[in-house]
Amino acid sequence: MRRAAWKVSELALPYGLTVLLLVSLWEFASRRINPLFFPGPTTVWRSFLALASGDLAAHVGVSLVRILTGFLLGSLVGIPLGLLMGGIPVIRRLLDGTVEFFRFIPPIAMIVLAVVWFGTGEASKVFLIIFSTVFLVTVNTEDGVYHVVRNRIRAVQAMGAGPWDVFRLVILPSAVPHALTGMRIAMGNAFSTIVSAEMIVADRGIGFLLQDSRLFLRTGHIFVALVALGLLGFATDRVFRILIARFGGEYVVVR
Amino acid sequence: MHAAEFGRVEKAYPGRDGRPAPPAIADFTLAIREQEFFCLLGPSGCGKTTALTLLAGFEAPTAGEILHRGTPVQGPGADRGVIFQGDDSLMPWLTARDNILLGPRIRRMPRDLQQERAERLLALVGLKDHGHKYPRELSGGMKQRIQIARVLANEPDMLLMDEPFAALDAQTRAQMQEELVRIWSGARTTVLFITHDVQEALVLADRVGLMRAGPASAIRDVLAVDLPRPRDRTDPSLVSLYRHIQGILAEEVAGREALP
Amino acid sequence: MWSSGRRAGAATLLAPTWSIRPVAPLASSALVPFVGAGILVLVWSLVSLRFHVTVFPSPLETVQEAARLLSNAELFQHTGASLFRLFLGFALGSALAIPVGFGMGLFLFVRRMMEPITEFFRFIPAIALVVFALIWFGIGESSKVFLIVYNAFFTVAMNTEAGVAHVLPNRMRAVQSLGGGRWDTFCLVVVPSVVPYILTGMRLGMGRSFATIVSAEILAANSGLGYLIYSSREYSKMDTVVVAILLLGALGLLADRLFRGLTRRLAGGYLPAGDATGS
Repeated sequence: MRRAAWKVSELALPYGLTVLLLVSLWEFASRRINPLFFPGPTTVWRSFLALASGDLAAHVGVSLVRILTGFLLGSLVGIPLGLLMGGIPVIRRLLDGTVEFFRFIPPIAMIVLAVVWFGTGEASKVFLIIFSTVFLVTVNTEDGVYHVVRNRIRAVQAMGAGPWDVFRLVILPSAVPHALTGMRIAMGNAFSTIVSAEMIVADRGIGFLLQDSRLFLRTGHIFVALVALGLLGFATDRVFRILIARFGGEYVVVR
Repeated sequence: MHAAEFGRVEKAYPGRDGRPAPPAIADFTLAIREQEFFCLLGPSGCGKTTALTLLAGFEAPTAGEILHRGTPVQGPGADRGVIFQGDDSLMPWLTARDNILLGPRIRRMPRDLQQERAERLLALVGLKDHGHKYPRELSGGMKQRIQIARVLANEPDMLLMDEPFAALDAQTRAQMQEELVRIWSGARTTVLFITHDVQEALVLADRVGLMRAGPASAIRDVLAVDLPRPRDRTDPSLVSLYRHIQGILAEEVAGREALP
Repeated sequence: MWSSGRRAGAATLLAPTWSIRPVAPLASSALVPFVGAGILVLVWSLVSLRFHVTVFPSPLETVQEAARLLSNAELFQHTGASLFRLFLGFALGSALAIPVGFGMGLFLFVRRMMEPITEFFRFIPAIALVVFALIWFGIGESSKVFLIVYNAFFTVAMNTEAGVAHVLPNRMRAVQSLGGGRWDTFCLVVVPSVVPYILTGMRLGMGRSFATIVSAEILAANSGLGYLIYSSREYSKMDTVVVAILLLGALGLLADRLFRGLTRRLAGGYLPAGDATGS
């Protein structure tokens, strides 16, 4: 936030310097090192042109569809579960330990089970993304409910609010920024998971593109795929940041 | 019939390790009259807020009986509006106007009436042009005005105010006290006002209830303040009452500190 | 995790009044979490009845497999291999990141120069770099350690920077007005204020590092828990897979709790919010 206040002119010098430094270092390194190991800017640009006119959009699209499907399904389970756990003590105490444990299982460790259970097609990848999403969203939504400011509940109760009003007017709005924060982190993890999964078992997607390019030593292609990943991650993260700020999530704590 | 009655009320909270702690208030008896402005005054930690919390119905007493207009308090309700000390009870995701409209919406008031009421209340608390602002854009005094308007939107029989001006600077506080008297004179609801500021109690109240130092606190004296409003803080009779009460409070605090 | 005073314990949330309190004793019983786990194991058992062990092992089969794995050194070797990579990478990554983070937090120009780099690389998942790690470092230890270094670096650097940015000016002024110089201010105020943030960065980076190391070991390794999981696939040893998964969860949870405990101790009970996006 504090960065937003800076003027463009102030940023141009340090940013330009860094970018210039990086690119010259990159060019220099690629001339000294075998370009098969470390492609220079020109090689990467040619790879980009080749991929852009070819399969890049298709690979990106496949990965994005997998991520979004799993992410939406995971959130659809995680948000209500988090609301229930945050609001009803018995449910929280029943499930808290279990959810907390599952949260620490790296989703990619489930890949062998996912393939055995759901085959090598789309379903196993979507399952892995659901697994990456659901626990983080649950835990953060639950946090949002659990840390509702007590006086806000009391204030509406003193206006005649029943349990449903308390939920609708206080608990739900308080939980939204937390749920969004969970979703934002989950989205980052979903990118990691899908890339790994596609590298291991897939015939399409950005992860597949990376792995395929490695096997054929097309290092220029690898660079292009990495940049595409970075841009996608950046874009989705911004969307969530804007949403969180919109819903007043200044006090959100990452769990 | 009284607006509110406490009959030998006790409230004990569980101690740190689950063992019973000494009660915050014990044998607390008090009757508040209809339409009066009653100030509960006492040293910090004497259980003033506890008494308010019980009458609001947020917590249950461990012994004794609390009546609101003759009926036992069973829980919080729209007939007793609560104004909290801090600003954390305002919903930060709602504008000032929407915060005021919480009560009417909960009670399913028709929409056109809602808007009309919000505008009237914003005007009443002097925030006509600030209805679209979010709490974070308002000053401390403005936020407390919004809290007052929000409660008045429900037309409660009784206002329960928990040190509502404690966090404000001296100028704003004096101004808010004047305005509260003005609003109360118009609405004529019963007010239970908690404070540890003797002057504040004397400027506002019809009667002042003095509490003992805690724990196991209760009412020590009830003093009537028969002075016309608006009151002058330098009025000799107000000043002599002030000295009298300060003396009692000092005695209470000293007595507590003398305890082992 | 926060003081419960101003916050509503969940008991108050959906209870409209205090008259419906009798739920509380059930909820507060210490046995409830175990009942939850018990229900989970029961469901797991019931589902596993319908499937063969090569598809969905039962809890009993999993426990038996765990016992078998524990009786020979295999499981220890794989766990040790994964943890060794994790800790080496984490130590190196943090050692690099902490000075950079301080530099970014203390000097505006350093921060602005680093920003294009951090803002760009933190959105590239570490595992995507495995292809380069393999090309550059081969399939030995160094490629995996490199990935963990990368993973730790951005999270720790960004949280260190955030910590420096959050040092309270009045605390520094307090030391200055007591006669402290720059070095005193740094040692007495800046460092103690930043350490909890560094630890939070490490804690958040730890979870991702577990995922990264498992992926890397699946793709190219002949030891480690990721390798154990992937190689068990060839013999349809799903019971081994489940044991390794549960072990990973337990290790991740343990690491998280260790960092949390340490952070709380050093920060006087306060757990700072972290920026979890750092790669």
